Amino acid sequence: MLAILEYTFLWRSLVAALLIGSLCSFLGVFVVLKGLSFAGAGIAHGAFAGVALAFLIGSNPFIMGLLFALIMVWLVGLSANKGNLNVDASIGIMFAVTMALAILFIGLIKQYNTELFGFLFGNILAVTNRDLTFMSWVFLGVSAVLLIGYRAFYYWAFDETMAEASGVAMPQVFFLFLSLLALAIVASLKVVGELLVTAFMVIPASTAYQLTYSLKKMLILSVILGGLASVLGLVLSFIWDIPSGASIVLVLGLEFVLGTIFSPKKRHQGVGGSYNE
Amino acid sequence: MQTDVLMELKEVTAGYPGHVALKDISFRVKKKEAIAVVGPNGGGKSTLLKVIMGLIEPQRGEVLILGEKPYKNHHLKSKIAYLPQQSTINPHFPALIEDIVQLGLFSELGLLKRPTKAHKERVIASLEKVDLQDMLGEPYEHLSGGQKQRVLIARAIVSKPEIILLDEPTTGLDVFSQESILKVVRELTEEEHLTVIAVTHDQVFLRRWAERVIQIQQQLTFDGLASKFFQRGEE
Repeated sequence: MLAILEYTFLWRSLVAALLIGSLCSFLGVFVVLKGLSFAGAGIAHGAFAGVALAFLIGSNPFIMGLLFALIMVWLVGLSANKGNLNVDASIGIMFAVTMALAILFIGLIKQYNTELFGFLFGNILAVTNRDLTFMSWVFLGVSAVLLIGYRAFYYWAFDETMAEASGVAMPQVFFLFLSLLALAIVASLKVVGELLVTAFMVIPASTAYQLTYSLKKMLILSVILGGLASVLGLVLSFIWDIPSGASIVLVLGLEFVLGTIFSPKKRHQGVGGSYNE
Repeated sequence: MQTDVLMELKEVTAGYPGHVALKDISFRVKKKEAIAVVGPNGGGKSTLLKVIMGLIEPQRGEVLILGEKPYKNHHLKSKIAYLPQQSTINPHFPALIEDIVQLGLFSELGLLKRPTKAHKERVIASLEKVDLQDMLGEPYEHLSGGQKQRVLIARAIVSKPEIILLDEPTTGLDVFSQESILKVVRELTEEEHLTVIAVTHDQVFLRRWAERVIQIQQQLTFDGLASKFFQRGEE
């Protein structure tokens, strides 16, 4: 097992997994509490369409993916804010349209591109120093914004109208959160891939939710669980020679099962959506 | 403006693009009044609360609270507290009671200021007023519906507001919890001398607490003493 430490590319992969696993799990707490789980999948689809276009026109896949993801979340946010459509329906539409665009762009490329499909299924072993630098900046930037704005995000997660009445800048906080989500998802594509990135946004936070009554502890636990699953999943994928993205998500799933079994809570209903007792 | 007038709405028309929820509403609110706002669903009650909170700008007319317009007015945020309908809040939200009450200090603390000992004492004092001081470190999830509502009232009064807006404070609660909320809200007006405006459909709450009733069905259809409102209904 120690052989894993002898390869530089594996070190890079481990650091990338740890950074992305921790970051997405932090954001995931608010995703779960606000019932935005579908947003992760929708944004990932949007980002993948951008990545596909980048390969088609020979542009930077991260920049193009981020551009698409940001346009998507802002359109979703605007639509929800104007009250025309709820977030779920807006994301559902974007989800389908951006996936159609991705398929169109892939069709126009006319040849199989391994690197492009790495963004679909995850290819953490191909993480370069440049990718790692990008991920580190995203990690630092998004974490800093989340920590500085923690109180506003907390209040927003608890109740939007109450938060706004107390002076939390709405809908700016909502738009900011969606933008951070887009940034983190684009940085995660190479680690777990477009199809599995939602797992990072939902599973560690849901596991942490089973284990604590405090939001601060939920955040800490979620980050630890996400980081741990990323590293453990990667090590297992190396030992057993299985796809790393799938391995990481399966470890996350195992954590959730254990968290549910050992949860001190006896809950009548889940999280997200509306709450009528 | 008379000095005891806390709030004044002058011919306010408000709503959303393509929809007028309130039309030409005018009334004055004095300090320490206990006002119930009634009316059918969709009649503009929630829009009225949002206009008072400064979350919606009137399309026409003017709202003045303590002589200032509330729309995007940060200074007034600590003067007006709001209690939403309980059904909008996740009853299993992972938070301790003290954390929730402390949220009410956001207008003072902002994003980065650390709460001082005095702030923490205010959190305890607010919980004492709703008789939950012994549950400071308890999880919010462990409370009954009535206790959760009292925690939210403690959160509302911790910022030392002058006006409290309650949106259906007793809806969805059992009889005992309704009684405890009625007692707390009564104390807010009688002992804390706060101005309380409550949107309610609860006839018992209305009859036992309100001094004045404002009825809204897009326009103002009644504004007067609660006794007269009930007399009118019985005739």
